[in-house]
Amino acid sequence: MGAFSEGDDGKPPGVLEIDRLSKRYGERVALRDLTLSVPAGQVVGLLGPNGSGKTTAMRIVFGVIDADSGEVRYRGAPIDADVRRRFGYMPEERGLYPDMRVHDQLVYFARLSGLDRVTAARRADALLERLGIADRSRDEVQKLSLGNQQRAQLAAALVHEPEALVLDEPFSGLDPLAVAGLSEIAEEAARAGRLVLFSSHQLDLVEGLCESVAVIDRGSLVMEGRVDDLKAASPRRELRVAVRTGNGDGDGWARGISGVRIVSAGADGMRLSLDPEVEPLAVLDAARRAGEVRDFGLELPSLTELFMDAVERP
Amino acid sequence: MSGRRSGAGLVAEREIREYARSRSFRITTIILLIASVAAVTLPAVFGGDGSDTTDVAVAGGPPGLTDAIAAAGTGVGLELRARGIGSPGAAEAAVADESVDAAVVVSGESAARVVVRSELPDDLGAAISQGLSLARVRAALGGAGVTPARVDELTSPPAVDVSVIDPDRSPPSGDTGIGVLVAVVLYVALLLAGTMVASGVAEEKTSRVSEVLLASLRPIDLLVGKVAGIGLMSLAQLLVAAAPALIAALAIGAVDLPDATASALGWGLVWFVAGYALYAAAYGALGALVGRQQEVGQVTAPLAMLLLAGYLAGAYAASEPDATLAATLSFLPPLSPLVMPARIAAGAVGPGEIVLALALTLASAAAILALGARIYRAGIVQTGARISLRTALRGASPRGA
Repeated sequence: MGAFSEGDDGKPPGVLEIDRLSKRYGERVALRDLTLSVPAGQVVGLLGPNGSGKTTAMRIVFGVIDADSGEVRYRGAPIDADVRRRFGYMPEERGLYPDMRVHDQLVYFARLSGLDRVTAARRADALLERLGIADRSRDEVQKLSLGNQQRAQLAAALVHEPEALVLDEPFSGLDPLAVAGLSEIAEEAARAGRLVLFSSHQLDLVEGLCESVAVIDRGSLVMEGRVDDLKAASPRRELRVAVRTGNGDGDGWARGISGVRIVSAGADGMRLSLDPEVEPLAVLDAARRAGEVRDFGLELPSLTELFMDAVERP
Repeated sequence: MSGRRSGAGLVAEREIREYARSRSFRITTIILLIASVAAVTLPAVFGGDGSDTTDVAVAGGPPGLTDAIAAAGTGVGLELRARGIGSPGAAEAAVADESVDAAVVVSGESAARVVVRSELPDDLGAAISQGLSLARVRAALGGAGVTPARVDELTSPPAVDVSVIDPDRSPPSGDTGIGVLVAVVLYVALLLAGTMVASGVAEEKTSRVSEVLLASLRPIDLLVGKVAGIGLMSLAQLLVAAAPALIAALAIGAVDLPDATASALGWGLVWFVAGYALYAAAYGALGALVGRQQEVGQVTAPLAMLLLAGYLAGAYAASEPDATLAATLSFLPPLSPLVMPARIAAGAVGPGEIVLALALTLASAAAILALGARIYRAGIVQTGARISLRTALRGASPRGA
């Protein structure tokens, strides 16, 4: 079964708007006029280095802490406790009672979100089955492996079939198999029209998963949009070239071209950065003159590179 | 959303379920149960024949000596049975085999010896010597030709009228021992329950469950639910521990319960609820300040000290229930829950005073709950290192415009 039923009873699609949020902890500024909007129906990544304010923003969305100023809106109205109950939240690290049984815990969370006991129990069973930990449902959380604890955690965020799923660093500490499983669930939720937002400090790990990103640094938004659009809009143009030269000259041929800079060079080729006026095909011609071209392609910048450009760090 | 159980109700329900399931809670309850039954039955089992009657064997002496000793015993408040015994040897043997508590061996008109196993209680000693004198006086009077009827008349105590000048100074009708006992039980119960609240809050904070919970619950609901759930379980634990003890005591008649006992226990329960309402929110608030679970004891130490002070004041008030200091302390909210029940048990308090002290305690409980919820709210989200009360209060201050 799927964890998400289709359809949204005709309401306009949910958009979560974070509007000029600011938060200080004493002298330290955690958020500075952070503004971003998260549409439903796609997986959105809230990315940024450690300490950039991702967790603070999520905690404010869930009312765990208050912002100093600014507002969070959902479907155009300020977010309140009733709306939050229809959200699913998975905080970083843990978030379950260590000595409570997995099944009991899911039922408890589901009932807190407004479900009756019978429905809650049925959902918990189905979800544990789906996540592959049905056989551990009567065990205390602390007796589960780390991976299974993470699954139980995810189940707790999903058990009330939330309209919006907000996951704080869901991939940290997961093995590749678990990352794939979690990604699948996130994508499924988005396809069902839910709002899916997750945070990560590992920009490149999540590059393939999210359709859109909001990248923040030091409490402010530095870049937002669909990943494809952001990459296409980047002035950064890089080429991937591998040439077998007869004279053992290596990368000497590329040094001669004006407006071309060698970013890296290794056994499997090199990466060249091109100034805007340089024509990629001219570089290809130069490469063919130097030897046998075994690989050539235009490389889109990675999210990390886009981030570095945006915050102007080398 | 109607028909849905309130957030605080669900939180309380979870606490009750999880405590009922927890091994340590069950074990604590069983230990309390055993201890309470033992406290009542063991003295009955090992305390000799289980009755308060003192038996005295009398060897020799004038006729009527046994009656005289028994009468003198009644005079000093002993339930004393005296009987004649054949010889000094038999008397000593009776003491040795514990069939009597003491033996009186009269060897001449003015020579007598008392035989006991280890020591002679003052009241028994007084009764015996008074009985001996009385027997001698009666014998002398009889020898002087006074009629037996006149002898009885002369040696019976005259009727005495008692006039009370200051009725308020009359000795309390209750019992000091029960007062101290109530203070001890309340002290232990409040300390245990308060610590349970603080540990529970600290567990939710350090495991970050609080973050998930606060997404769907107000902090005050979380705090109130936890306090109510643990409170009900603690009350149930108290009742489970106390009820069998009372039943056992009544069934085997092991203890002569003073008349004040039932009301002292009833008031004890009322004051447990009031005291718990006062202390639990404070414990919950301080529990939210910890950085690690192990810091709970340290963070809540001030409250433990306050409870200890209350217990000491309660023990004092049980013995001096009318002293101005005891009366004053019994109205001071943090001490009230431990001092007032001790004074009630000692029988020194009128209903008006009880109601006033209860009202003061409950009003402070409401204030502490409001303040506690603010501290709790600030503390529960600041994970990492332990935070100070001052930081929590500052962090919790209402937002500026």
